[in-house]
Amino acid sequence: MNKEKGEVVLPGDEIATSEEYIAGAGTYEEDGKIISSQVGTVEYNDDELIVSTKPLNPVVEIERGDIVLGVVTMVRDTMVVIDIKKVEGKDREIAGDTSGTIHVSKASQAYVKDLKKEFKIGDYVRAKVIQAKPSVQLTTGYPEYGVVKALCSKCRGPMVRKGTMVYCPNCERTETRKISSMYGKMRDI
Amino acid sequence: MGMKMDIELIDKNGLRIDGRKPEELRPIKIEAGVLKRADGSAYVEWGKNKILAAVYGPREAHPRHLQKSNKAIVQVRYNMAPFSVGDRKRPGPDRRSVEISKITSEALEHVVMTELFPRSSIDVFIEVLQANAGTRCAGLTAASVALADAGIPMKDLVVGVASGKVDDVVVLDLGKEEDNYGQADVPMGYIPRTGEIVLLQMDGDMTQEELFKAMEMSMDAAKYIYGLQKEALRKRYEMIAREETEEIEGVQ
Repeated sequence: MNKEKGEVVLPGDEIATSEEYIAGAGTYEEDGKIISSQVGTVEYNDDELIVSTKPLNPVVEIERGDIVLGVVTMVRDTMVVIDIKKVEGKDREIAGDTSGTIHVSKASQAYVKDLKKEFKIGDYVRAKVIQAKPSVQLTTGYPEYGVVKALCSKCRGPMVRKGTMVYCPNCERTETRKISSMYGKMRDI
Repeated sequence: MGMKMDIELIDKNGLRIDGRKPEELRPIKIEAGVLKRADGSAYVEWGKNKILAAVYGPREAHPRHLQKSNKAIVQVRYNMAPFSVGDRKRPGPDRRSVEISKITSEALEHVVMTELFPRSSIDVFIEVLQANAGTRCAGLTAASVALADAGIPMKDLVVGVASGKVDDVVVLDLGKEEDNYGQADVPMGYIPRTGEIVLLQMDGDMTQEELFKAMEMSMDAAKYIYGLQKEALRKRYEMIAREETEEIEGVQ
């Protein structure tokens, strides 16, 4: 007896038989049966004859198009490495590898001569995922992406935005960054 | 296995010290999703046992050298609260809890689809709040509900049940006195749908026939507990699924 569309299934529940459908996401095939591998609702794709389950408590994985928040861990001539802390709109911790890179060509709308002038270690960055596999590639080439919180390279204190630059009220230093339009407006950090 | 043989564990009518028949389980209550901050959780009351299980992850495995490049690791921490037993239990891992953590992890690794999350760790915490024999089985039962609640892909739910020998009678689900003064205790991890055994230990001794009889009893009981596990998950998720569809309809 097949499960109906939208029905809640649990790991180990039989959904359909492999003569009728192909096992899709959230299911697996065993002894000619398609069995659910997670808590979810049943979905049928009758055009391609695929059954899948839609998770009710999904695991968070980094996907193309996600907007992420992270911290700069390394700055090289051609790339910046970000440790991704959070996927925007998702409360759960990220599964698997959390490091992502921004290539110079994807760092800004404008031409970037020196990446070290745009990002510094410890900065909080908001970026968009342009590739999730095999490695996570990010872009900050839009006004809303870039540094959302910068730390002064001398005293490590938080810096405030001053036009297109950031300013440290403690050391009275001015530094350059690829600033996001959301600078200082993120509640999460 | 204590040696105090002067207490009568089975009476003239064939009933056990707490009034159960040899093949009778203690009352079991399972609830899924009891902790808000954990990715998945479950609470099990099994006779006088009270056990909480929480699951976090899949998340980046730390320390780094524990990571497996092709699959996730399942890390289990079984812990007894200092107040869980009559005498204060000295807090912290000891030989017994390290062993239980290891076997539980191995039992769960058998069902969790670890190959989907390379370099990650799935962390399972089993906290025994009140113990009265059979906590490793109750812990395994709770952990598998918590894993499913966390939305982690797994082939099936695992059930833990124990059986053993008391006063030369094979009985199911030993209580504290039976565990202490009985002859054998056989905890088992079992998947009722496929008939796979993912955990089997024996403390004490019994004949081959007795062992088979005990395992048979555990398997029958596991089917019932499997039902309770699914019922607990269904109860939680049917409500959530209904809310979600209502929300979608509301938007339309």
